[in-house]
Amino acid sequence: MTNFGHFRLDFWLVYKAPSPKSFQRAWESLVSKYPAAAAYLTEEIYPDRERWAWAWVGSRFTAGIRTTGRVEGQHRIYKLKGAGRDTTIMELFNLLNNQASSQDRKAIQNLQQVFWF
Amino acid sequence: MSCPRSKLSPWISTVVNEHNHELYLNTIVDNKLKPEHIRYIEEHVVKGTTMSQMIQMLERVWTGRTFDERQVTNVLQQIRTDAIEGLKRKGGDIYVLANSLIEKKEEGWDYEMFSDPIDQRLSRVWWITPAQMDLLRDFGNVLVLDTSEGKNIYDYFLLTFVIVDGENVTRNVGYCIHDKQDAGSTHIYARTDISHVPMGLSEHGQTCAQTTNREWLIVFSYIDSPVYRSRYCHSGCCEGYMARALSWDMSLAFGGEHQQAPRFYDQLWSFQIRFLASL
Repeated sequence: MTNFGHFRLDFWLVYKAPSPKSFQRAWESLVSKYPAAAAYLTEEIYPDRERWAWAWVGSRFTAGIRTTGRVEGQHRIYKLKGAGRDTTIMELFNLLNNQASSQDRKAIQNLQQVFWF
Repeated sequence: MSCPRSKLSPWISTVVNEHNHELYLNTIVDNKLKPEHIRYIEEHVVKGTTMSQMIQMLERVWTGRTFDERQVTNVLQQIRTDAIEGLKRKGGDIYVLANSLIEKKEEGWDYEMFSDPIDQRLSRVWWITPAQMDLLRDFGNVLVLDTSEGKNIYDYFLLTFVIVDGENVTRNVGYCIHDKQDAGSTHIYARTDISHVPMGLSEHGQTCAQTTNREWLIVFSYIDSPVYRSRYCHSGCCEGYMARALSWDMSLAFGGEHQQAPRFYDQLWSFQIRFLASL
């Protein structure tokens, strides 16, 4: 495994540290183990730790969401449905509202599956 | 026909104005679109319908008939040109949008339009339907938002607000079209909005957390539960963004030793988005 491969594994272990105290210990060990990454880790990543590290984020309700992927997924759907640089504002307006309506229909279908009617 | 060596192409030397067999009239296919076909296309075409999709739809209705691709394409093109001309006649795209939003207000929708004070150009419009207001109230605990570009002719940015309902289905709860290009502005809206929700996820958690712009508060005035009134909020970083950023930035620190890693994360992210789009 490459140096980066080891670093990646170690980083995700730190990421998943269960409490702020254990995070701190793991973080210090990570920084001293990888001096090449120390500046980036300390200056760029560390100040935001309460917004990404599991020790803080894990205790908050996020409905299982940890990425903005759901919105990006919606943007991908708009594109597949034809939204592009030649789309007028009214076409986009209708497309977005149709997408919301199709989600409503999907929700009803899910209900029907539960209640068998 | 003859093909003399001195010429580059064949010559028609004699025309025989007779058939050596009877003319089979029933084999002649009239491919010309009839008014009912054109009417059907006009009624069923939506933005993004391709020529082949439309032909399939037509062939399902008029079984056994074949449709000429060029003719269907021409009709689709004509419908689009007419629609754009119609918008221009009615005063332009934005004017028509404003009128439809005014009409929708009577059905319980809400919206706000902002224009640039100097050139009066539309700078931002957001809207929300009554169903989306309900969803925000019921499932607005976690709000995800992101901006996309390249989705319209004017290069306005599109901001989509998303929640997840009790059935794990993604629900869009608000849209905004705006002209601000820099990420900071984009997340001004985001951050202000999520100041009312317990946990917000955006790509730039810190940017969101530091901004104090309150223009977007009205959107979330529809969230009306004690937890929002407490104004307790956390903003979080997107884990996928985190992994990608780390991977790209570390490629410098580790001297390009893992050049495939950023591409791997991009592919992984793209795969994840395709999966999430199905939810």
